[in-house]
Amino acid sequence: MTAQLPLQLSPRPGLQLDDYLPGPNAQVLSALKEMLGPTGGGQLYLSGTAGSGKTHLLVGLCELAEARGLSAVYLPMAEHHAWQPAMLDGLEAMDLIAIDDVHLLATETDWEAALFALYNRARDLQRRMLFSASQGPARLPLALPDLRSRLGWGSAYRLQALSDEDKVLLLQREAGRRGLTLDSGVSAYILRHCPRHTPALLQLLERLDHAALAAQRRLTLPFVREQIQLHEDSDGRLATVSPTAADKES
Amino acid sequence: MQCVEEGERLRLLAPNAFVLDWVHNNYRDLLTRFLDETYGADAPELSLEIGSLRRTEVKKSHTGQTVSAPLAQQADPGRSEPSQLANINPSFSFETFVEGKSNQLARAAGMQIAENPGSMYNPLFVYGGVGLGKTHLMHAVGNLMASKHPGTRVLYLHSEGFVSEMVKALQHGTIDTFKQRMRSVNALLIDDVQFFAGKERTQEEFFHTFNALFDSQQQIILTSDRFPKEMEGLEDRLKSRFGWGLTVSVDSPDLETRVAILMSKAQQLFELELPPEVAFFIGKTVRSNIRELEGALRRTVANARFTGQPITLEFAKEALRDMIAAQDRQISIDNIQKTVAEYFKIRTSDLKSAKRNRAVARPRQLAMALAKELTNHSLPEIGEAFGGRDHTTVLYATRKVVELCETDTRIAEDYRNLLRTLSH
Repeated sequence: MTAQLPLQLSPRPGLQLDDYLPGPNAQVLSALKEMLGPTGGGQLYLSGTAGSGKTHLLVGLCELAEARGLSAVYLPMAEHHAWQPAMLDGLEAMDLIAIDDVHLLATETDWEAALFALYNRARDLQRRMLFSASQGPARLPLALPDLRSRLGWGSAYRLQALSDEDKVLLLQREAGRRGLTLDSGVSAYILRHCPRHTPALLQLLERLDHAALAAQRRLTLPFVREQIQLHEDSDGRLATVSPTAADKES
Repeated sequence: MQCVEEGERLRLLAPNAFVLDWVHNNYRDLLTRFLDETYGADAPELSLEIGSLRRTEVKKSHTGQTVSAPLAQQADPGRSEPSQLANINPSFSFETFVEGKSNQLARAAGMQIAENPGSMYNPLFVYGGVGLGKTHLMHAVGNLMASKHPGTRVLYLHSEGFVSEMVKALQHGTIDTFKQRMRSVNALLIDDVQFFAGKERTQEEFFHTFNALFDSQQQIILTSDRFPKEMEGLEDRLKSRFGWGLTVSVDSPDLETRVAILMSKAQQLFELELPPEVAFFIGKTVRSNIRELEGALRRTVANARFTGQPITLEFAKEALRDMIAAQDRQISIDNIQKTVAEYFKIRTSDLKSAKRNRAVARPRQLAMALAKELTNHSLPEIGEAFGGRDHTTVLYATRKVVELCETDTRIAEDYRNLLRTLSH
């Protein structure tokens, strides 16, 4: 049978706060929503490793702010090389300013100075500010200590990794969004045999989605196992996965 | 960007020229095509402009009074009319400024200046590290000055604000208005003058502003992160003028002052009586500067409100665990093996060996369980790191540790200790 070629169209990853699976980060989610409330405001700083959900939270809060009639701007500093520091001029006019991956500006003195100036203008106007970075504010390797101390002025939260149980939930929910069914046995198999970093799991799900569509198969345990093994082989790694008693138990 | 529909026109408002150019160069065609395809002959005309929606936002002021502020006007300092107290934060007063050994001279000088502006210490130059209260002190002087001398015109500007207002004035040909605005005040408060370094045109303009105010005996207050003579990239004539009046330092607050600051901020920000033992704990833990002290307090209070628990010493310790601990450290399997080996006084190589005696097997199981808990490695990867073991061995080990933690208090304690050591 000829394999079907799937179109490269994936559902847009949910970047609404309501789609965020908080797991151990429920307080962070609550603090973010509070920023938009009647007694809210101020600033919040989120740190976490790549893939811990920082971008989701920043974009999600901006979306929520706009849905409530507030103006919001989201700036991913991963793209700052394509811009100039003048990009930050006048942004204090926004009700919410969200700057993602602040650590990427470290030692770029022009950018640090521009962010520092924006911070001061925005704070004078009591704007809401949300920052994210890989490290906590005290550890940011910024050349401007003034900026570092200001970033640490509000509450700072470290995003905690989801538990394996939450990751199963996330996988199943994302599968559902793609119109797939991922039963608990298959989810557990994935968690046991694959890297458990959340973005890696979501990428795997995307691959499985494409493969299932191409092969016109459901996500059964034998199919998923075969796909994982194929991927490991194509990566040039040893295929360490083999069906075992433990797998059969599940 | 913000969007406004006006009849047959769709206005997109960019916050600055950079965004305007960016959207124009990268998205204009796409947007126009989208509008044409969607609306056909009825497609609105697209216009790109710099600006923002003029909405009136009702906000609580620092004093708790309700004020109405037009956003766009606030965002553009060039358009705002100078008030008696321009840019002065009313909550930064001497009442909320906690005095300690580290800042008492600066505070005393500030209070005297507020009583007799322009005559005693002019300029007042306050220097010290970041987050030690220099800005608070400046605002407090401005507030007190205004209450003691009705009709006083006080203008506070961060040095970056001075630069950007001047640049805008030059661009718009309104430099005379700018000069007039700077030179017509009774007190000019400029924060962080070290940022004037290397900006020659700004220094030139500020030099003349300084002279005009000084000659007419108007008060000048400046802050910096260093002593005037240590500022590189600043003209000598400015450095020397900065030292004409009184130069005072503010240092890091000692423990007692940090505790007093915490208790005062808890009252001021949250109307909360912070238990002294909690204030001492936070004060001992966060030593760097007052901003981080406030950040730690905010975090503790947020945790208490979220969980509905009272703020006790134990609660504060738990709430600040993230801040105190080196949470940013990446935990690797190597690190886990090293820590577990040290804890049980065995060799790291034992954990990877084939040895199956309990003195090695139990720590190995704990290390595997910790690797599953604290890293994102797959079970086969974890097994591989422990001497090429099968992933089912890792699965067995983690289940065994969960079971042992419920039945054996010593193992439960070992696991908790290791978890704490590795997470902190």
